Amino acid sequence: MSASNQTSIKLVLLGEAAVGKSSLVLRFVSNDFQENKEPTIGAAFLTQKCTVNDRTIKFEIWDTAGQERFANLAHLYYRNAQAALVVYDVTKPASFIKARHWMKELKEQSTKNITIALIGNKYDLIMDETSGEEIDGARKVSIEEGKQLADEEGAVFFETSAKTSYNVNEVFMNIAETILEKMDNAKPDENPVAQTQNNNRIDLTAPSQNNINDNGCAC
Amino acid sequence: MSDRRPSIVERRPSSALSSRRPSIIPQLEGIEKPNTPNLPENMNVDVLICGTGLINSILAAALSWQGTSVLHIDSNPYYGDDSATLTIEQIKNWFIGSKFNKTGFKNYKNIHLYINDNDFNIVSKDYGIDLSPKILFPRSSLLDLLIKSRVYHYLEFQSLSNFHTFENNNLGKLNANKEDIFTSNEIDLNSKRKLMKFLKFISSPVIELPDNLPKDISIQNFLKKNFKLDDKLINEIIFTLGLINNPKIQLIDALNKIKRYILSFNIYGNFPTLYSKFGGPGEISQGFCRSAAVAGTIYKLNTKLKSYDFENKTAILNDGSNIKINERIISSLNQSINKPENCKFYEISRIIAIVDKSCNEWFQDGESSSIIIFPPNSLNSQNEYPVQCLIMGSETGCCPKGRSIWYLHTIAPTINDIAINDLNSALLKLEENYIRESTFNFNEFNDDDLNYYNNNKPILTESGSMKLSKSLLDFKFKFSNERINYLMKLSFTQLTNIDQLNPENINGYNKEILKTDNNIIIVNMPSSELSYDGIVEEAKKIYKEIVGDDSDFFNVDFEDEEEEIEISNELDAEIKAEVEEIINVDNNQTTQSNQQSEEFEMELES
Ligand SMILES: Nc1nc2c(ncn2[C@@H]2O[C@H](COP(=O)(O)OP(=O)(O)OP(=O)(O)O)[C@@H](O)[C@H]2O)c(=O)[nH]1
Ligand SMILES: [Mg+2]
Repeated sequence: MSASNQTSIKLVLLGEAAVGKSSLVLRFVSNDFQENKEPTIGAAFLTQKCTVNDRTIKFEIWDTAGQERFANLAHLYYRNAQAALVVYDVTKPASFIKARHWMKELKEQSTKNITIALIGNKYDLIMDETSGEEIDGARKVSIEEGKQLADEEGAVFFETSAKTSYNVNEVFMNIAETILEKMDNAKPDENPVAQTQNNNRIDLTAPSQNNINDNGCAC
Repeated sequence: MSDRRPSIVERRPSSALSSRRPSIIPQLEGIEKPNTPNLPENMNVDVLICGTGLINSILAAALSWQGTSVLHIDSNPYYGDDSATLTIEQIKNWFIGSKFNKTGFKNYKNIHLYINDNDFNIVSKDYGIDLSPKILFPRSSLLDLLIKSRVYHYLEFQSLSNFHTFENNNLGKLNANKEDIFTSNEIDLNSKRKLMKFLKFISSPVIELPDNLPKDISIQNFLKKNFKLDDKLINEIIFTLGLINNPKIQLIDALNKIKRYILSFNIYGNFPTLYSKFGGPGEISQGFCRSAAVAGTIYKLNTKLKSYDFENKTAILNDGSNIKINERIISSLNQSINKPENCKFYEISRIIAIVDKSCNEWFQDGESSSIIIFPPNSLNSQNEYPVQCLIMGSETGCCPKGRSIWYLHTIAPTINDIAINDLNSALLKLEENYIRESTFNFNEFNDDDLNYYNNNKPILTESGSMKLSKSLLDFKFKFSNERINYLMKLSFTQLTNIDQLNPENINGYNKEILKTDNNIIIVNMPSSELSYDGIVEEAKKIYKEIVGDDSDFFNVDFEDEEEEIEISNELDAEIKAEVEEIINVDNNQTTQSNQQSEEFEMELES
């Protein structure tokens, strides 16, 4: 079975409305960008396969809705996630405060081993394309603030742009590498909650018809 | 209701939902507070659902996909209500809430909780403890619904093969797969023939009972008279394979329950049941809530119904909001303000124990859970009803390595402590058996009683299960200091309004719909049924009451709603190019990276 040498990573995106969560996913999954992306309702589920260090990784991505009215939903998604991207908009200070809140909540509520990345998105809005320098006053959250928050919570930090695709793949690759590393290093009895994903996982859409005589099946 | 509302798919894309809001910078004050959304003022919904238990959550999803606007609330800060999967901290809160009979915890009694925080460094969130654990038969209406609704995306399922029966002070495993029976040395040829005859009978598409059957013959007598099976086998078939907890069950119902086990083999593999990782009904409830949210259901936790004016169709919630209800309110019994009219209560008693043992000995290789059944009269307490146990190990994602969770329950009455005595008696037997099996010293034992596995690792029977042979049982094992320690032990009696001995409630649910005097629909508490059978039917029954018809229950074309995009991005470009080369240039030669290229081939095509 091809699934056996593939690692699934459940990843959830959290962050205030309109910071660009869905846009980051769209960039990663379809290498596309939409100027007027509609707000996410509830949450969206997407998958993306890629190869990291010769290993196939399947990202199972939960893109949650940032609007207030969906706030209670986030619980449903991060509980068993192995990775979380907490996203804010570098031009919106309030979105950074919200990000801080999400970092705190993740720490309290999620799986112990969760890998977190803090993302300051819409980096393109603070860059002057022609000069290659930052536009004066456009940036509302400093790199230092972002870094500090990430450090405090043991997260990695990136500034990204879903529009120009700056750093987007890097974020996902970094997450994948970190998780693979954690898996490889985990001593069998040190890893409190099972991380090995495909262990005895049954695919409900694949009923087996042929294994009547197959005692050596993978079950 | 005569007019059909357009479904959510038909309604979308509506301008109301897709217009980009102006970018509002939220006020800074108060934003550090927990994420509590406020409901819009003058909110107006078709249906308000109180409690996020399994049936309620299925209803929320089904209704909102159908086009009904739904507000779904729960008085607790977590999802799941009466079917929640809880952490240790949440269990503590549950205990307090239940002791004080608060909203959200209304139907529990005889509650005792023991937690050993001193000796064990308990990390609360490493645990997922189900208030009403369940397992899933591959051939069942819930499994069909999980696929149809696409909720299976959100979940992971694992196999559960080992069904043990406790008999003669010993845990045995019945081989109910035809091949296993053929190859088993445990069963003599004569019994094999009888058992095969029964299996043939039960697996036929329609069960045909002989004409000359005495009226009201019990399943026990039927098996004895018609198939000449011995008592031990009869017990295993009825209580272990059938997971029947009412010894007085009607014949045909019993046969159907046994049949679901037999038919479930070889659907996904050589095992009869599945369970969801990270928690049972609590996890599946959350899956349906996710689906409901995608269809537009609004969620608010920590919120309960305070009052409902049925005449004016207005509901007041404890957060002060005033909700106009166009159609109905549905509530779990746990979260309801009033009890339904003429409600009688019945009991399910449970013990949930977390122990400091992995219990791998009880699991099939590669698996992490098993079922253990104590049939009637198998315990020192002379139990009239069976005690059903579900053992969950660490690979279920519900506890750390080296620990396991034992769930025991019975529908025995609580008068004169009957139920708790049965449960404690069963718990003791589990302990004894576990110690005996795990501390057995193989070196001091006669080789004839063992079969050797590959790498000199001895196992006890050909099936790899922990069935101890007779002589092994008699063997006086050295006294050992080994003992089982409890990290947590919770015992309680859950009330339900379903009469579990009533033959009409075969799947654990009533036919009629319960209502309060102000016309709130009350959803039943979880039944004592260990499988998910009956859940979908219960949800459909209420769906029909609200929509008028259940033909469009989850009848949704998800095609463009939730696309699974699986295309490669540029990261794979290099490898893709390589593979393309292999495919084009070297068409008929298998290369080392064969497996890899096959996968990519599939991706390239899509
Ligand atoms: N300039 C710029 N605009 C962006 C970027 N990312 C997203 N946007 C725009 O910001 C708006 C919101 O993006 P979404 O991806 O829908 O935001 P979201 O976080 O998913 O929002 P919710 O689903 O409501 O939580 C859209 O109009 C995007 O086009 C970016 O990196 N740069
Ligand atoms: Mg979005």
